[in-house]
Amino acid sequence: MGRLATFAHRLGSPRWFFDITGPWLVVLSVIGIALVAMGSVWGLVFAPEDYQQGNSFRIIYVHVPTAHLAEALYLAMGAAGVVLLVWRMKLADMFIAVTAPVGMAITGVALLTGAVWGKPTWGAWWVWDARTTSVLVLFFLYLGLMALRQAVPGTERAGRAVAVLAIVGTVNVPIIKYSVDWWLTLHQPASFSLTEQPSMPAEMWLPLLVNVIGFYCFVAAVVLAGLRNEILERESDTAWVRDWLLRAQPGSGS
Amino acid sequence: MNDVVTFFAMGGHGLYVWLAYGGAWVVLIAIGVRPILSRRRFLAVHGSGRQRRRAQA
Repeated sequence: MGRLATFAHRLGSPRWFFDITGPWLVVLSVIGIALVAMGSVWGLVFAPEDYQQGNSFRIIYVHVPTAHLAEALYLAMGAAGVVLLVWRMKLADMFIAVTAPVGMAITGVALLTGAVWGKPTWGAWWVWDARTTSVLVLFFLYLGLMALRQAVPGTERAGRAVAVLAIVGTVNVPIIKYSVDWWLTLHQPASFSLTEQPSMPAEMWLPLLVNVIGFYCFVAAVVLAGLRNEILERESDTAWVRDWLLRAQPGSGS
Repeated sequence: MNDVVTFFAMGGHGLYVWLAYGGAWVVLIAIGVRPILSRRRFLAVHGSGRQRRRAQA
C-alpha cells in the first residue's frame, strides 16, 4: 500500500513520469507489434474456418480486440477524469487529451470491422441493434470529448469540462457490455470471458488471445508515446525540458 | 499459385476479410506514426530555436 501511495504521489510529476517511461515505450512497442503480427497470421492462415460463418469468421481477430479496447480506453479516461477532478493531477488531463483521438480511431475500427462482418453474416452492413448503436454512441462520445476540449477556452477549464464528460460517458460502457443480454440483438454474446470456458476450440481462441494482448500492448505504447509528447509540449518552458532538448538533438541518439 | 488465389479468395469472403484487416492495419499504422511525427515536429520547432540561441550566445 505504501509503495502504491508513493507511486501515485510521484505520478503528480510529469517529469518523473517522462523519465521512467522511455524503456516501457520500447518494450510495449516491440511486444505489441510482434504479437499483433503473430496473432493476425495465425488467425488468417492457420486457424480453422467456422462451420457456419466460413472464412468471414476470421474478422473476429481484429474486431474483438478493437471492441474491447474501445471500452477499456474510455473507462481509463473516466478514471483519469476522477483523478483530475479530485487530485488536480496534470498528467490525468494529458492522458485524456492523448487517449481520446486514439480511442476514437480504435472505436472506428471496431465499427468498421463489425459492419464488414455483418454483411456476410446478417446480410446488412449496419443494423440499429443495441450493441452496434451503443458502440456508435461511444464513438460520438470520443468525438465529443475532442470537440469540447477545442470549444472551452483555457487549458484548465477545458480539462475539467472534458473530465466531467469522460466520467458521465462511462455509463455507456456497461450498456455496451450487457446490451446483448438486456435486449434481443442480432449481435452474438461475448466471444470470451475471464471467468468462463471459451465456447470455441483452442485453435480458434488462442490467436484471438494473442491479438487481444498484442493490441493492448501496441495501443498502450501509442498512448505512452503521445503522453510523453504532450508532457514535452506543455512543459516546454521548464528547465528540465530545455536540458532534455539539448541531449535530444538529432544525432545524439536519445 | 492456386493456393495463393484460394487463400486470398477466403472461400468467397475475401472482400470482407481483407477490407476488415486492411482498414484495421491502416488505422493502426496511422495512430502508431502520429506520435513519431509529433515528436519530430516538437524537436524541429523547439530544438532549432534552442540551437539558434546557443549559437548566438
